[in-house]
Amino acid sequence: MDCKRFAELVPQYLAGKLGDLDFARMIEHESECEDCQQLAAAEMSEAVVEPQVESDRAQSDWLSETLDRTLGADCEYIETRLAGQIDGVKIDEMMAKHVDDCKSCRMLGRVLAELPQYYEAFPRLKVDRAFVPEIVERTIGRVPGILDVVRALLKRPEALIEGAVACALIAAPFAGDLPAKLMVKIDQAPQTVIQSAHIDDLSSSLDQRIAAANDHFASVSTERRQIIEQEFNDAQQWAHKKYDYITSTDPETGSPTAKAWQWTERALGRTGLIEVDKKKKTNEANKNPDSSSGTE
Amino acid sequence: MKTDEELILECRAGNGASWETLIKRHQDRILNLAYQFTGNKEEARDVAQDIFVRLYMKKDHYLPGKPFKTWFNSLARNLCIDHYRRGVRDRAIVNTPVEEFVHLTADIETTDHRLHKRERKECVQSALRTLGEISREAIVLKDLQGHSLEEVAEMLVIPIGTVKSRVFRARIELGRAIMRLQQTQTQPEGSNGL
Repeated sequence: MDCKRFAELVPQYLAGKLGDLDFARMIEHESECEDCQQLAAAEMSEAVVEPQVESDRAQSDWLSETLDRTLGADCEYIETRLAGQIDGVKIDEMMAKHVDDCKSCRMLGRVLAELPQYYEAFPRLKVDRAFVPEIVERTIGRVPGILDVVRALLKRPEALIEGAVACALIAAPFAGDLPAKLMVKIDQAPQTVIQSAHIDDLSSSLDQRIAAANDHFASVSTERRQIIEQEFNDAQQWAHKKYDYITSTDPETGSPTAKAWQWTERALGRTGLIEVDKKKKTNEANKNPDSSSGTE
Repeated sequence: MKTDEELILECRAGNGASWETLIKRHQDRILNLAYQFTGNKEEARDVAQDIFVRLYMKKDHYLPGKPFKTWFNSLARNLCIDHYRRGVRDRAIVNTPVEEFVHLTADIETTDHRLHKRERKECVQSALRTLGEISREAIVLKDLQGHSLEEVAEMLVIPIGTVKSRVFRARIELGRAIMRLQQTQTQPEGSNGL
């Protein structure tokens, strides 16, 4: 909109008789053009002394209505200015006088000036802990838990040792520095191999215990989960190396050795996942001298 | 720290960590946007999650080089409006005509207008619920979310002057709704305001 067009529309603008689009354009132009602001203010302050048209209404009524419109008493226009106050729109002297005299505009003006305080009181919400995981699950899918990882590992026979090490690491936050202790124990064990051990009992309780660990894993924070997964990955690599070393010393069986299962049992025992019967271990060792540790 | 534009492009490449980062960066703002539109905390949570799910589904529609926030705000606003319209249809929310509040004459000038924060909170929430779709949107985007007129105009794809006009009229409507609520609170029971 340019100033010429603005000047043409001022009377209708002040009377609040413009359509939405023109009204909006007038407001925008007036807020940016000082000349047009002064023009609008001047139009408002002009008093019509004599009626120029014939009317059935009494001259005094007509004069009063015209004065209302031209002396800034048109409430709709004034209210629009009041609504812009919090954005820095100025109220001139004529409008201020109207506001002083008009109860409705005065009350509305007071509330409009206080709007920032009302907005400040509007509650500010925070998301809960489940908000992000639920969105992630709905979008990129469920994040695999430890149980899924362990089941995948169990498809390989050597995965049981890796699973034991992983369980030990998961329980590390509760069992202290278990991974470090486990590694020290395995390093210290003799390198000779005696016989394979049955691990059926071990594996069934392992499944149950892993399920319990998985449930707990799901409840820890994302940051903690990342740490545990990193430890698990590190342990996995370490276990691979160790397992290769162990089986390389038993060319006949080529399968997990008694010593390896003993280490597994001990590690799980430390995590609290299973009960380790120390007497049973000793008796078995005595019954089968060939299976005892350190036999050449 | 990566920009939103970098994160959304990494999401498109399948980076789950980037997706999570993007959600966390905008989660509170989007939740509050949804709350300001719906007025209900449970609904707001659902709407906010739907907004992120839609963002993920539409991530390939983002044009690299354009401001991510503008595009995302527009997407969020559209979903809020859709939800609002469904709510109006389902709950038959009645919008009180503005004309009803014109020229209130009850003598509330003598009452103490300084309300406690909690009263203001209840007052503004109730008043906002009485606004129509266009007025509510104007108040939420400009005054509550704090976007500039240019940003709102870009979001709604309308001229800045129209935004300004809508905002001013919405404030008047809101102000009158607040006045009506204050009048209801200050009038003794049984009074007809005369």
